[in-house]
Amino acid sequence: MLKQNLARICLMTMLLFFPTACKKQLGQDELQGAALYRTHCSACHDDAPEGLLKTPPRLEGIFRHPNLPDGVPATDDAVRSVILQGLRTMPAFDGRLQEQEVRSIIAYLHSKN
Amino acid sequence: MKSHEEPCSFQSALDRSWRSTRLLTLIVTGFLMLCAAIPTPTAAQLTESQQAATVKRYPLRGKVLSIQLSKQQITVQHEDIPGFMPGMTMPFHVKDASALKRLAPGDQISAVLLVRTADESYEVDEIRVLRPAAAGTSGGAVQGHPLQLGDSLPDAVLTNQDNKSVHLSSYRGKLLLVTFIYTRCPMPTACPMITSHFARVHALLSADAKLAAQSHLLSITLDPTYDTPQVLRRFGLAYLHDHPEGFAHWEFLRSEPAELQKLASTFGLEYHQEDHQILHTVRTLLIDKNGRVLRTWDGSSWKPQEIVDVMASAAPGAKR
Repeated sequence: MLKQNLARICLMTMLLFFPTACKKQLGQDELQGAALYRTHCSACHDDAPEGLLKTPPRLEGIFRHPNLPDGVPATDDAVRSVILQGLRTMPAFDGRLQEQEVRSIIAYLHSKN
Repeated sequence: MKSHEEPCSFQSALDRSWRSTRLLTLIVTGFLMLCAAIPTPTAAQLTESQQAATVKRYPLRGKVLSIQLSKQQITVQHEDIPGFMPGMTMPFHVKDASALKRLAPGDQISAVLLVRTADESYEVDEIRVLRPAAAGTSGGAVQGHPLQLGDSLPDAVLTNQDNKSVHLSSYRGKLLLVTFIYTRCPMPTACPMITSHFARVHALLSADAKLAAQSHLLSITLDPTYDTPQVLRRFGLAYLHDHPEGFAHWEFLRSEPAELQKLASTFGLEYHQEDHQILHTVRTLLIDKNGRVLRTWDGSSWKPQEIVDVMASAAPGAKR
């Protein structure tokens, strides 16, 4: 009986801590992406002020859906294109972000999935 | 009998041993999972000393472009930060607010960038001024002599989103609302907000035929090198809900890059361009039908209806 209880406790412990144990620490690329995201993206996509003609979409889980908000397939290339060229009222970051920086932001967006 | 019982006892012992091994495996696995869980607690679960251990320090060097006291931050054009990010221009929160008092735009500084890995936040600390800004400069900002109320708007030739030349003097006889933006502006409270406001002003004016006929809106770019007529047209259409006929009432203009400084000075704009980043003030001017400054609004906190009301009061026959 004692052994059975012990086994149950172990199982409960595993179930309780499994998600935390699986939580991924951000790598260097994602960490840089997080800093760049906070600088360039967060002001609109997380904390958009009232009064904008169109409220920018939140980007958590953007790669979990088959399509981006504008309807194109949610691929790295599509997101890269939106970041660099802009889309509708979203400004282009062409010239302000280097290729490596865009890749870091995309890596961070994947980590927010 | 004894010889018959022995195999049973052996089998029983084997069974007990197997169950004990299974239980032990379960306990060990549970313990290992618990150990694996311990190194990744949430930021809220960390003690202060543990959090300090997760802060990475990076040396930072660069030039202060602007200081935002209300936000306790500075915008720095910084060199490469080895192991963290390449050189760029960006705002940083300053850990010690008193350090801001010792800084001026144009100062060359060294500092330590503190990156907290738990919540990915960062801020600068231990700021030292390596070389103070030269006296009388403000990081390259253009110091203008702005038009005052009642002043006449001088003429200038610009190009619109359809690549057609337009003279500012050609709008005489209309109430002219003018502002400055650039399409790549990433500050939501600056150009995106002003352009959103203009879109609403355009819609409100268009709802009154007499008011629409007596008014015109201009958004002039501060980034004429990037903002070609094609770029301005695409940008304008997004705010006109893809109705190009709206350009007849609201145009998006660019000057020749060499003419921008003079134009911006005339309108009282201050701006600072570093590569592809433009730091600028926000100003909107209402020019009356005689080409004189009727009213100005600084910043983007004004309401579209407020401006429409002012324009309506200056337009005979308008509904308001």
